[in-house]
Amino acid sequence: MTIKQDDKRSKQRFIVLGSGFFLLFITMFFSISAGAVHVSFPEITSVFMGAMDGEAYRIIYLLRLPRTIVAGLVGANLALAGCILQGVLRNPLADPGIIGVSSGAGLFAMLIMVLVPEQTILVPVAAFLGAVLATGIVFLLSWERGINPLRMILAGVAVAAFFGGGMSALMIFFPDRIQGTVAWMAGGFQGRSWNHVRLLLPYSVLGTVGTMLFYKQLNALQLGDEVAVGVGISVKRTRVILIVASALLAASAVSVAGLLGFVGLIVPHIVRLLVGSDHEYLLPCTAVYGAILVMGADTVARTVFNPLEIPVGIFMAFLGAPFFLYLLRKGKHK
Amino acid sequence: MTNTSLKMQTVCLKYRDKTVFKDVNLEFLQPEIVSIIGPNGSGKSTILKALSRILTPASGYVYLQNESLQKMPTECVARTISILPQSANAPGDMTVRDLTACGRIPYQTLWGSRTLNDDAAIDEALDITGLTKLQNRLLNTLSGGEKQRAWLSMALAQKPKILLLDEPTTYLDVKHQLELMELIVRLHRECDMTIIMVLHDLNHAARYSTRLIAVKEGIVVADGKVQEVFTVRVLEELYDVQVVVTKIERDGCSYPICLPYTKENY
Amino acid sequence: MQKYFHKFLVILLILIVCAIYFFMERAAPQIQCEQNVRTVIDSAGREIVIPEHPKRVVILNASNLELYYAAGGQAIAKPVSSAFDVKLQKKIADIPEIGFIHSPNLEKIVSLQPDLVIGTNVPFHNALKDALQKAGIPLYINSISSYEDVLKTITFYGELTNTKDRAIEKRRKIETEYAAVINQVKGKKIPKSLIVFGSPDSYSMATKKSFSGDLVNRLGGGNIADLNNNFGDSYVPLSMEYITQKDPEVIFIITMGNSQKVMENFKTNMKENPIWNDVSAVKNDRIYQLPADLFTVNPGTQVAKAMLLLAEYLYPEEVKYDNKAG
Repeated sequence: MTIKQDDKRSKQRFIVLGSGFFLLFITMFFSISAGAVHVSFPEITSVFMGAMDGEAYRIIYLLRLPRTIVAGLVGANLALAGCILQGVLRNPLADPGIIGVSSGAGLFAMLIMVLVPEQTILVPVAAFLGAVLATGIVFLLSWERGINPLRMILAGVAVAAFFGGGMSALMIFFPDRIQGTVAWMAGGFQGRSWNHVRLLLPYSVLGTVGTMLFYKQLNALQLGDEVAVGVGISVKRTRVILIVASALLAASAVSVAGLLGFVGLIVPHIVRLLVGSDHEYLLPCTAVYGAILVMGADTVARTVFNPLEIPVGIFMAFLGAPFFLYLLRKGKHK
Repeated sequence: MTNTSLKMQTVCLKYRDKTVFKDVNLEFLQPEIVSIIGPNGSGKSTILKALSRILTPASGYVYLQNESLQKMPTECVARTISILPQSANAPGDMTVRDLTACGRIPYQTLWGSRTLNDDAAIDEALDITGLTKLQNRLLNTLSGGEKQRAWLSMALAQKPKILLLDEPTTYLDVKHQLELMELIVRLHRECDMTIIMVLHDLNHAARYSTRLIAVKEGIVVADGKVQEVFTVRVLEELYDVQVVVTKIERDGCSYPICLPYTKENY
Repeated sequence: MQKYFHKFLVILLILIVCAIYFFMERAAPQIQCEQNVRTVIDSAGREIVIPEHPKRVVILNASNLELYYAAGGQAIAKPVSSAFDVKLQKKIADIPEIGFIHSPNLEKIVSLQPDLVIGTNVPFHNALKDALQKAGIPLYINSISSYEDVLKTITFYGELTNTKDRAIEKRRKIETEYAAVINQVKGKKIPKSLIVFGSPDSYSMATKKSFSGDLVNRLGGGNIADLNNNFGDSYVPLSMEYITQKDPEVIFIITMGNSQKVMENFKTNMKENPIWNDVSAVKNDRIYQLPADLFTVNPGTQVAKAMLLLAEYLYPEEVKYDNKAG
């Protein structure tokens, strides 16, 4: 009976991962075929087969395909970043915003958009630098012979407040220019191109490969610092490496997509319900389902009120609220 | 077969700038069962943490086989010493086997997955702790005693020569306490393991150990065989109460016990 | 089973990355430009190549659209906006919409196959430059932040649409109206004024760097926000102390939207507030609302009309604003 239980669990995990990839493929297909302009299935296949001209080619190749890929990579990156942080900090409410990524990226992106609005090409770079800088400050503040998870959370709140104040100041002093920043702040994929894919891809690969190597350490960290040390994990070093990885994943995603929230928070929880908290399966599944969620949300956001586009971030916010209510109910029943 | 030695030399232990121990010298040169006893706050857990490199000494060294613990790679240490800390919690959706498998981490490389060796060690650990039938049960469906055995199973999967246990019986009922202690004695006997534990129950300490270390306010008050340390003089000084120390004869065996009392009449 | 799991994931990852690279490195199509071209520098400081006389123009914001039509041109798509006047609305009734001003739909734009897209200097228009460029469509950013810009824009659009005469005539008309207004107020002592912009939670004062501040400046100055050289920007946060110190005689209020109610609210709040009540403008009830269609959005060709309105509020005895004219 015991062997069968284990098999059942393994099978469930494989099914979840397998269907994840299948769903991803389907979502990608829908994302490519949906939009303000109608493209038919034969047109899509001909584009992939190599037809380089025609209206459909321009729309699909230049607009939809890169946008779909960017959405997928951003979703995967953010979900992975959140999953890693929840594991490292042992806090189920952790998401990349907690370590300052969102506030840093937001302030620096806003600075560019308000002071030099014509240099939009600098926005992703500035946002990335801002995210890394904010995370660095949070790191320094929470260092106490190693990273103390509680101090990190408090430091993150302090840094977010500080950078948030900076953003408010910009809004007060440049009230006529903030309209332009609002859409970016909410998070969206309008106009994302192959350049953005190029920006994201190295981080996605690094982050994915890196975290797959560290699943054992993440599992051990769940048992408590002392047990982890006893089992031969270098807790200090592992924490630093994993938080840096999480910060890079989140920073790259946020710099391209804006302040997309909730992905890093919700997706790991949902996937944990499906495959359990063993990071060997949790991490890859989180990446896949994160990609599906954001890709799907973006597809819906740009088609439901055609030709008007709703920023994806607003969608995610509407998803986030019922999710928290669900967590609340789950806690009550325990 | 050579014995694994663990030595503490002139070690000074600090916890957040407060000196807990000054100039401690302890040696564990051969397989034995050692219990560390003493009043609360005397630093018993601190010694265990120093012995397992969880706590770094402020000064002095801890030597494992004559090599400094601090300098050895941590996975190496984990293959020889394993520890069961006082408060250990695990995600409820782990199975007993999952938890035991964590004990194999020091033998796995970054990109390696479980080998046949690992599976054999896990099976063996589960067998010793009697959890083979329960290995696929979720941790949050186990009783207190079973959970404690699961943690022990993880510690055993590391195939340690030295096992450290910090108050392993605190949350267990009487029956499970005895079961655990008997398991520990068996481990020592069958696997030649050195077992160092912190116990709050003096009688268990006396009955199941071969050596006692008495600690009070950062000083090792006594260190030696049970019959040398388990005396009225040592115990009264240690706990600041009056005690009676006697033996109970049963089935041809002799069990030392102590009874603390005060002179007050209630 | 577990070993294969890891290998499987790694292979999958490599496949995905390769697929992405494969699609990314394919060459983009070369768009043949058969028309003659001209090189211009737009408001964002970029040098771009646009058709000499573009035939299919998409315009992303209201002020640029209004000026383009005023210069004699036509667009093939418009933004969703309530700021078009009745005559213009009739002219553009049949052309498709490409989304809100602050979120233009890239796909819609590209599908219309324009040969020029005109936007204003805001991040959400600048951000389209990359994607449009890959599709072979030039993006011209034109910001209209002063009276001079209005004139320059009309002239430029006249050249683009090849209806130079029409544009020149329109320009001349504006200049004449402008000169007329200036004439009416020449030599008069201009009262101290304050331009308030914003929502009930955060107010700002407009300086001469803003469009409305620029108009007041041309009418003779007097904007108290210009008295301090430290105010370097078009809008600065409102400071009650500063206002009490400078004591303006006229207060202009620019609100988002035309709501009568908002204006009433403003006036009542000011009258009831002891600090505001002490200001000359409030004491003498010289608080005026500047209509949104002339002052929130750039008035474009109606700039002289906007100036005339300001002039009348500043000099109620001397200047008469005739709503029907212009």
